[in-house]
Amino acid sequence: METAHNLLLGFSVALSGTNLLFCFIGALLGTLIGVLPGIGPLATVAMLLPVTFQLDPTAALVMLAGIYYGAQYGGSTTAILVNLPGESSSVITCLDGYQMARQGRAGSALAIAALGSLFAGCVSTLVIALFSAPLTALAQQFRPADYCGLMTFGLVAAVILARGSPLKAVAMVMLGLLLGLVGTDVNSGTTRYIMKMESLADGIGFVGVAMGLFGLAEIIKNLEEREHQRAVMAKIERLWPTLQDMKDSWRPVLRGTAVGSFLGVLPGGGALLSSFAAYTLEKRVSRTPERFGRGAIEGVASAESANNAGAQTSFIPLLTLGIPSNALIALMAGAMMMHGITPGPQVMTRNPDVYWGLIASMWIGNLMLVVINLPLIGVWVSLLKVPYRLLYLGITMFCCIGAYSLNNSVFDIQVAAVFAVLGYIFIKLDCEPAPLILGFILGPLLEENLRRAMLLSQGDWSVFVTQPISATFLLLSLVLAALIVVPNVRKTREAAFVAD
Amino acid sequence: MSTSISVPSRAALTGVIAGFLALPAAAATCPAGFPNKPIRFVVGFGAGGGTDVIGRAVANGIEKQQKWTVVVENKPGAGGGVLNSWLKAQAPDGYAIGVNGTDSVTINPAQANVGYEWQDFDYLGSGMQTWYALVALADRPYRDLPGLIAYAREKGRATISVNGVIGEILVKQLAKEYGVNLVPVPGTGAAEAMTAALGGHVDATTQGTLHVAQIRSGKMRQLVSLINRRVPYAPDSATLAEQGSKTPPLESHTFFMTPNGLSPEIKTCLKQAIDEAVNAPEYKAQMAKFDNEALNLGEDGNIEINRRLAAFYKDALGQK
Amino acid sequence: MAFSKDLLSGLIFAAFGLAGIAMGWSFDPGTAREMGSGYFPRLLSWGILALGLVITARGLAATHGDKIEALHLRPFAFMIAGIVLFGLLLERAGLVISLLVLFGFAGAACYDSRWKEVVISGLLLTVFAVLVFIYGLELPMPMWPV
Repeated sequence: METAHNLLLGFSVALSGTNLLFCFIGALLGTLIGVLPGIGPLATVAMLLPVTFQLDPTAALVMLAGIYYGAQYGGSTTAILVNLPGESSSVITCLDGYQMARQGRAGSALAIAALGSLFAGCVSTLVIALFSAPLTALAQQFRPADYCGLMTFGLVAAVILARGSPLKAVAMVMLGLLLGLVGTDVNSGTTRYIMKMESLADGIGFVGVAMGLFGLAEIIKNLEEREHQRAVMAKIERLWPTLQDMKDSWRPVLRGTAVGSFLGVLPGGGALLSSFAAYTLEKRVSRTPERFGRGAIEGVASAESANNAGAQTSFIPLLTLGIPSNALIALMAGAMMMHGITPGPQVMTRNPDVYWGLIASMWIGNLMLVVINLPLIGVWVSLLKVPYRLLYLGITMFCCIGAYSLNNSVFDIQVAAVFAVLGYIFIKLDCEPAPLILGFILGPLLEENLRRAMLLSQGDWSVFVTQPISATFLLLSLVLAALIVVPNVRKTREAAFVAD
Repeated sequence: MSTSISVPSRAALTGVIAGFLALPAAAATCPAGFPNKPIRFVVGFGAGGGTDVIGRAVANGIEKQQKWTVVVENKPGAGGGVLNSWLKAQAPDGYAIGVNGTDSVTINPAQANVGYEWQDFDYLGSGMQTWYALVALADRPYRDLPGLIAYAREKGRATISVNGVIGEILVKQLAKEYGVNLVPVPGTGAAEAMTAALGGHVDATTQGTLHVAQIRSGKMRQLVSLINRRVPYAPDSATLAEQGSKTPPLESHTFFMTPNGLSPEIKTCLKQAIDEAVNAPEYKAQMAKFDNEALNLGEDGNIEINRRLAAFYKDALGQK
Repeated sequence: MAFSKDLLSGLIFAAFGLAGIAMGWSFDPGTAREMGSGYFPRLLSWGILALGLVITARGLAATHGDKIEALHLRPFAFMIAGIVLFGLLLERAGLVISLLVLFGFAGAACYDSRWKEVVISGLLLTVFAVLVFIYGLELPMPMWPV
């Protein structure tokens, strides 16, 4: 009853003319910015933050939140169309989304991504309204050792999602972890592996790595083929998902939403893992796991709903505890402070209009995203009709400027070039880049939590099996690892029977 | 992430404009023709952070009082270090003013060879002191520093998640002073340290700002004020010295700096302009909203603290 | 003997592992209880080296491993050269000239490029980039040589 009353208050705030307008502006800006690779939501929010200082606090927060999830969504558009993950959360969308685009199903992929995101956004908004407190309590149970367990699970999952040799995928994960450590060690303040380059002191930028490994390396590979040999992108049959697509997608969307809603609440890395975890889950429960990575719509549906749900529920720690769970939400906390609202448990009672207005606006914002994006699908898909010999010029330009715009530094363009070389070599050697990217993102987080866990346990490695959450994840990782090996065994046996 | 953003700060804080209209415009004594172009306030941390808020509020005050144009930008990264490296290379003409924290010129150079030292800059004044505190969950059996020490002695150790090097060194000092095993647990920053403490994974945490909301909601208790005085939101929590500790209190200010070699006339002018803005009622009101106070130590005060702390951290971190 | 994919990727991983160990030699490993800056990097580097060696061995053992497909030097070299040059030129020659250089090289990387098309689309994209990135987003890069 009370929640219903509060939500009503929220909607009355969010549906006011100004707030509706700023919600729309935010979602639109977010979409546009998300579509440009490089300039992610973080940079956009940082850029627009000072502008919002003159708005009313609810309008400011509503707009910033709109940019946040709008950009999440826009990032998936480029991931699907041209294999460019603008954000770490859209790496997984590349895997099947881009393959779908190559098969002429870009429209279906984009529509499912939009609808899946809408569903996930609506559900996770309800989750925020109803279950913030218990979820926060649950998230607080996660100790450093448990984070290590969770991340180990994520990394094993990354091995699963690679198609080639598991051994190579493990090596790629570890290489990614090592690359993630480049830069200043937060604990000791010393720099590692920076090869006397000051620009590396803050680490290798994600955008440079992603642009190189995914975007640019893919272009070089595609340019190897003459036009008439090229796996056609051209014949786009329909813009809308088929009934079969819908049937295939609804369960993955549900599961993705559940996984994302929960993982998003974990500060530091939870939301990042959600799309990986949801994708792995789908691949595991699928009867045809071999389709994954070759254009399975379930892959897009689960990853997109998971990352959107995660993006949304990662607001929970800020709303309930006043603790930002990632850099972007830290900016939102800053915006609240500028308006004289101290983020934290008191917001709900002191500024209920802001609190519930923001929550309701997320719901409306998700609807607006779909309204903005569904008509755009036609535009995006028609972009793919441009012959590749022209299209790649544009993609290259966006990659290069995108890499630059990350830190406004030409250094990141050279980083992209280095990772393009590496990425091309990896393609030639059948080493998939996705596990490396996940390792790269999790490297510093895993190291830090490992250190903290061992510090708290006084050097006793057994914490990882004595703490129930950590033990559960490690057990799950073992099961997953066993499953990687088993299908190979089964396949060999099946092959043997066929040979009989 | 680091982005360079320029938006005129007059866009900021419209809420306080009304109050200013009633004030007579103050004017600093400035050389003729200064400033003849917009002054840049470059903040060493991201937009929306505590340092940024102070930079913008002071810039706004100066615009109103002196009728100058002040543009606020952000150059975040490396704990304010990116700004310091950049600022050192700028011309000392008074048009590029850094907004940064004491830690960035005292701790950073002691940790690594960053290419700048506190002496490379002129200090025009400061806007606020960070009120550091040692806090713990309210249901913990200890209520103050001696209590925590006794607890650590009884259990064999106490873990304290720290919000940065400044907290880590303080915890080590306390451990040494009392001869007990206090383990600083470092991480990526204050938010993570607070999460660990709220989850009960550690016994206490050092914090600069996040703890105020937790104290107000009754979740946490301040064990000891780590600065040289008590704070209004926890008036019963005594300082280190009052609780019998010999460990020196923490001093961290948000100051305004320029590259070395500013002409004395321009320096006087800017010092006055900043002091007037920091002492304006609107700025004070803004600080009160953050549960803090406006405080300008002036040029000499900041130099004295930087000199003392730079030596202290070089010693504590064992470099150079 | 031709290099198989396994053999070469194994060697590359091993090289990364070795580089990680060598470059991280001076990092303080600390203890398991209080890990220094070298603990985790060392753990990873040795792991990568070991995996690399296993993959190499597997490549050697396989009698007919996957042969590496022919490298196409033209798309590879021209694309990379174009990107590197763009990065080197951007802050000196400005966005317009560096983009035109980038398009020149990228155009040469494609077997099917028609020069007229490259020139026209390059110019259009340059105008677009100037409008969006310099006027729209106000990225701090020069438009013309400085």
